[in-house]
Amino acid sequence: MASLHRFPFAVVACSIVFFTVGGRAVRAQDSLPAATKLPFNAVLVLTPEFCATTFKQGSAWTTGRETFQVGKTACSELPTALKDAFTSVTVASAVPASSDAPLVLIPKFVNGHASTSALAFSNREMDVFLEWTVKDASGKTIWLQTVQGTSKHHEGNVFTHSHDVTLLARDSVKDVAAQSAAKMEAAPELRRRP
Amino acid sequence: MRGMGRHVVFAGYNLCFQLTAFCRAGTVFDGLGIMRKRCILREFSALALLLFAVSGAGAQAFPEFPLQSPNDYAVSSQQGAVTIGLDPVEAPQDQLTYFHVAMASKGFLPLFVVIHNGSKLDSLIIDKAAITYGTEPPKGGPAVDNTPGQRAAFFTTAAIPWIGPFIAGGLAQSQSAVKQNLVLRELQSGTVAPGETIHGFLYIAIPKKGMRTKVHIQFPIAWSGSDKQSTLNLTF
Repeated sequence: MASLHRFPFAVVACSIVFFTVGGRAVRAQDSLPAATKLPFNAVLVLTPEFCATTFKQGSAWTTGRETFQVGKTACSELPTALKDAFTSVTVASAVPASSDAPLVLIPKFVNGHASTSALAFSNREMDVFLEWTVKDASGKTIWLQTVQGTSKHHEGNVFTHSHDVTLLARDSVKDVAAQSAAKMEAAPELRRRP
Repeated sequence: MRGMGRHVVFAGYNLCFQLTAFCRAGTVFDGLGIMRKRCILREFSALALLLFAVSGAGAQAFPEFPLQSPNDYAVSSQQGAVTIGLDPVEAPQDQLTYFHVAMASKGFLPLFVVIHNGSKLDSLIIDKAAITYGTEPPKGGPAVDNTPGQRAAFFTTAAIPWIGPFIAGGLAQSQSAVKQNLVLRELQSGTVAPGETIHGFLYIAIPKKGMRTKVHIQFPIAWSGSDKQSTLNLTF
């Protein structure tokens, strides 16, 4: 009995904090109401540089360096998300000559930030900002818009943290892809193009 | 916040272990089970207090910055259908209220920008990367030629920095919510439909010490699907 009382209680208490793992993602933003499909054949420009975009934050010396691989996910998610917004979407790895494409969609990640939380089971939020430049057949910019994507995931413990970072980046990019499609469908500047 | 959070959690672990050691020591000295139970309760209380403090520390409220019509700001300019109003948040108290950080001492001035498209037909395109600013040389510096057209040559113009680089530079380090607020409030590139307004903050680099000199800022104005372009200049 005495040995039972000597059981290191702190280990149990601290384990509650340590081994509480992240669960399912919480999506913060609702999608915008869907509009009708834009009647254009669009070219989506996904350059190798864009697909390799990462955001890094934190310090390797103090808090640990985190790398959010947003470009890789974006290059797989954007064609899928945008295909429902346009008549057709063709993917190109470079900006085509103006006369070749009626509508050219050029994405660029401009910023990203993930909040942090103290506990393994606390949610943290990531915001990514994707800037869209849409050009018409003559090469003129007709739409420039920064779209924000958000996701929430648990901070994770020492064993699950890197997996949670991956989920956080993946879901924020999925969200920004969905938001982008909705904003393009709702943009009057794109809708009134010939 | 990440650094602080981990430090707090590790401090919590330490506290737990130290309390346990204290309880063991107490057990050895008095040998009473009742004392041991009190110690366990103490550990629970400490842990609960710790969790409460940590969760409370993360919840910060940032009040909305008051939005007015661009013409109502002390610094404003109009060109055709476009009106731009500026409100530099200079007072340290205001910076603490809206950003929870004294940005001037870090070498940045938050500038609230409101852009209104008064056109009835055309959409306005604001490209944040194309916005530039420059500062006048301080007193005692080279003379400034006031001749229009020459004036710009005396200023060091630079693109508005994204908030990202100076987050990495250590502004408000270890305050995750403060950083997130700065990012979310930043003015972004966008297309402004006829009759609509966009607003947000630009973060202008200024000297950390001494009086700041005048800042000249240029907003390139472009129109959707058009070659028509112009520039709006403001000084504050």
